[in-house]
Amino acid sequence: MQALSRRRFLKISAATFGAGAVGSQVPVVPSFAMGAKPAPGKVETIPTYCEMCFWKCGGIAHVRDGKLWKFVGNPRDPMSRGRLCPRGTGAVGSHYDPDRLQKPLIRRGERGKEEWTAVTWDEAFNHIADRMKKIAAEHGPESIALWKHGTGARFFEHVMRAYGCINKAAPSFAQCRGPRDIGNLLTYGTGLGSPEPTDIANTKCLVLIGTHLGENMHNTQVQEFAQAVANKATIIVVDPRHSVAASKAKHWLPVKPGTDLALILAWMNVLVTEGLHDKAFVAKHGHGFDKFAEAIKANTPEWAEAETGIAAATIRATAREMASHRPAALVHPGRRTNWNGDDAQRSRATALLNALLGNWGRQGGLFLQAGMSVAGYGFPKFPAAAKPKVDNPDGRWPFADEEVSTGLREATITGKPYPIKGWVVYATNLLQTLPNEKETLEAISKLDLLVVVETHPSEIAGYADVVLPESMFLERHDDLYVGWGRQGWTALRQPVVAPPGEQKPAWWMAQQLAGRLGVGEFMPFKDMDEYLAKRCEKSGIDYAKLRQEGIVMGAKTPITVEEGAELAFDTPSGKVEFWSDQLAKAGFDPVPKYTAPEAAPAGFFRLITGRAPVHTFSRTQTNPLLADLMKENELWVNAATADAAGLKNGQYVKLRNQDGVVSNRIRVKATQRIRPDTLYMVYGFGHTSPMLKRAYLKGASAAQLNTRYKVDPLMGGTSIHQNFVTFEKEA
Amino acid sequence: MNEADIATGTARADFCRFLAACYYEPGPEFREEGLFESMAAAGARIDPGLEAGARRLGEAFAAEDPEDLLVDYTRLFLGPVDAQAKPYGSVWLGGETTLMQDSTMAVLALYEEGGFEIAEDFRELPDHVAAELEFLYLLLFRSIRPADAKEREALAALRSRFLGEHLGRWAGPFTEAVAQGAQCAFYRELAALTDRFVKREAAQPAGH
Repeated sequence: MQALSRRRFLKISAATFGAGAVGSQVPVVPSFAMGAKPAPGKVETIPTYCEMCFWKCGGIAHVRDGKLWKFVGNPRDPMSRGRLCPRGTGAVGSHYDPDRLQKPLIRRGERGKEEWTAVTWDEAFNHIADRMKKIAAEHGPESIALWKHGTGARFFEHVMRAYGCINKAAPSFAQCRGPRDIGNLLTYGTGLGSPEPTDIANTKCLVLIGTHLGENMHNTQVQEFAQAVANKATIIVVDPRHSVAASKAKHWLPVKPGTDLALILAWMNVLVTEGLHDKAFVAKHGHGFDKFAEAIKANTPEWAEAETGIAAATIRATAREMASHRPAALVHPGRRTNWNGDDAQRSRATALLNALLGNWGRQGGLFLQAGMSVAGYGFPKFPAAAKPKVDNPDGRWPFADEEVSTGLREATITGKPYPIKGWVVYATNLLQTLPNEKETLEAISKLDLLVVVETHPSEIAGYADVVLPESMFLERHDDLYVGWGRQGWTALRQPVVAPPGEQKPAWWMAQQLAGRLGVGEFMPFKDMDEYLAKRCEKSGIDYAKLRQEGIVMGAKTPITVEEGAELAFDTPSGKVEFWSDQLAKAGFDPVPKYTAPEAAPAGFFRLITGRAPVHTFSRTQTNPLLADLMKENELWVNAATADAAGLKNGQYVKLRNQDGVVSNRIRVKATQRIRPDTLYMVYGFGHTSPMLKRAYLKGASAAQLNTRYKVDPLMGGTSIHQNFVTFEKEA
Repeated sequence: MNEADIATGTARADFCRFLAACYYEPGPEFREEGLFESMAAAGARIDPGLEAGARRLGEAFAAEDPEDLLVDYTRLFLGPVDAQAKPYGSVWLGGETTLMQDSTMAVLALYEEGGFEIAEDFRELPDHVAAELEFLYLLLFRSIRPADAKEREALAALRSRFLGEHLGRWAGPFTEAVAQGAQCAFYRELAALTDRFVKREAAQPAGH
């Protein structure tokens, strides 16, 4: 035979010796990483963890002749397992993006008019420190608040807290995973955090309620979803839209938007009335099960059929199928769960459904998260807070365990309980993140200082008094990422290339600010290398090795009952709370109760939203590599609905919502893959910042249309699926 | 099987193996391992058209900037959005527009029936064009010197089913899409060569 390295090329081989005559002639292919051969030039590989989204996968940057060449997955990392998503791979585009912020800017014209003067870093910090001191002198340091998202916020939060700025909010709570975490906290005594402890790889039955794995590119879960499909797991997808995940499903349940809770209650009703639930788990770990069973007695499949549009027989069949696979049956708890404004209760119902399946701490269910203990650097103690925080006055949302973002916004507007005069906004585009843009602009109008720290000119940067250009994640150090999962791990963020302009890392900005605010002792290290080395040294982690490998794994501990783990629940009863006394005491339903969603006015449709695998929020549309993959979003319209409205596939249309807000134009995708009463778009598009040249007015913004929102009475989450829209044809 | 048959059988198997290799990410090892010379030599023992095609393929590879080849490869086969010629059987078979469909599982079952498995480090789906071509190569290779008449017949039957239900059915539209979407001559030549070879194999009488 002619030469050809089997290692490199042949990927099929004899299964076992003796499986056929060829067994001895074609050996089993040994392992060899594909595509690892560098192109010509001197190539350096440096591991670091990704910040293109919140999943924080470990990657390896390849730098060729000093220039960033590519970013690929780090095989040591439990999140990426050696494979990055398009956004991670596309990080290279964020480094080279010609539209990124280059220099510190101070506003000259009217706020929002985007007239700036480029200044030195010194001028920028002096300006910010002067304004902060002035606000602190007049109102107290509490009147300056921090908005944050992502790893880099860490030292801004630290320095501002040292200065006495106690107010802060992360929209990732009330505008995303908050309802899910509170629903689980109330049931199991713990939120689920990130990444969710879902054993998708080993499940025999996966139920996805609105979770569109594959379109939401939560890397590890998408990889495991592919494994589950390959393992022939039963997939049940509940979604008004035939998502990519639905295309892999045995059952697609095109539920009427806003009625998911009715379906979940009916599923639980079937499990309990037919005695299919995990009785041993309930007996051992359940609290208030009898009262719970009584409360859901009326929620029959026939009742739910009228609400959800899903046939009672299908509800029964899918409930039985789930039960037949328990405990290796898993209802994904979801992530961006703030749909209707009562989502903590729906998430609690999902948690209870999982409890009936007895999958807590079980293989193929929800495993127990394992972490890793890493020592802190050792900072001085923060000064005591002199005032309460403003975001949740008098515990208005009694079960919020993080700050409520619209609460902080409201306090900024009203000046109550005390004025908020300064905002520092770190890497969160509040004009697309928070509901009702008008209220955000009103709050901004009350400010004496708005500082935005960003890599690119987002909409919120357009309103800033001072813009601080941050280096993107491949150009900077950040704090360690200590991950929780099947096994704990620690990941390192380290610079792999220099930023192209004057951009600086957030930790350096925070340190500069600390010195000027007179709290320099809270940032006592020379640089992050020193900081990270000390944390590693205190924790027994070999820092030099971590710099080489990017990841260090913690100890392996049992994470399932099968492996010998013991279950314990940190709830008031110490058990899984089928009936919640604390909810009853606070005046809420102790077992989730369904309320029917409002009907759409004639000629209007409910607008729902989701994610695309190649973009993150509203922050990657300007990335040239990712823009190349997806420049604008599409409006999914049922083909019959489109026909009745005289809309053709591919034509542009505008949307007008119930409050008269009209969107930018968006291309129609006429399809059978969505309910006739529902419209769908990916959010994050329709940018109105002209500085985002590649993304400016491309597609429509779902956030702009989210003028009407409900607030979750338990925890302050704000809805995103409470708007009705109609078509406005282009002239 | 006589000497001449053995020589042709070996050449067909080799050619198929080299063709499969061309669908991996292009890199310097294509040249280092003399891929195109070997391919032309094997082609010469089967059909002058295959030999000429393999030579043109080698010339196109040598003429192209490696980076441009990678870009074309990515655009054609990886995407990740709207890859021009998705290299998976399920995309082309029976209106299945998504991956990992029944046809994927069916081809995997055929591999297993033949006693083969996919390497652990092959981070691709079972019905990737390279995997299917390698499977065809293994069947051709085993057919050169079968243990007995029974094995010969079993291999022929498996090959005929595989070509009739899988690769033979989708190679045509797939290579057409490659030819249309390719920006480099290399992938246009590869498309033509693949189409020619697979059609030729599918037209082989049973037992050959």
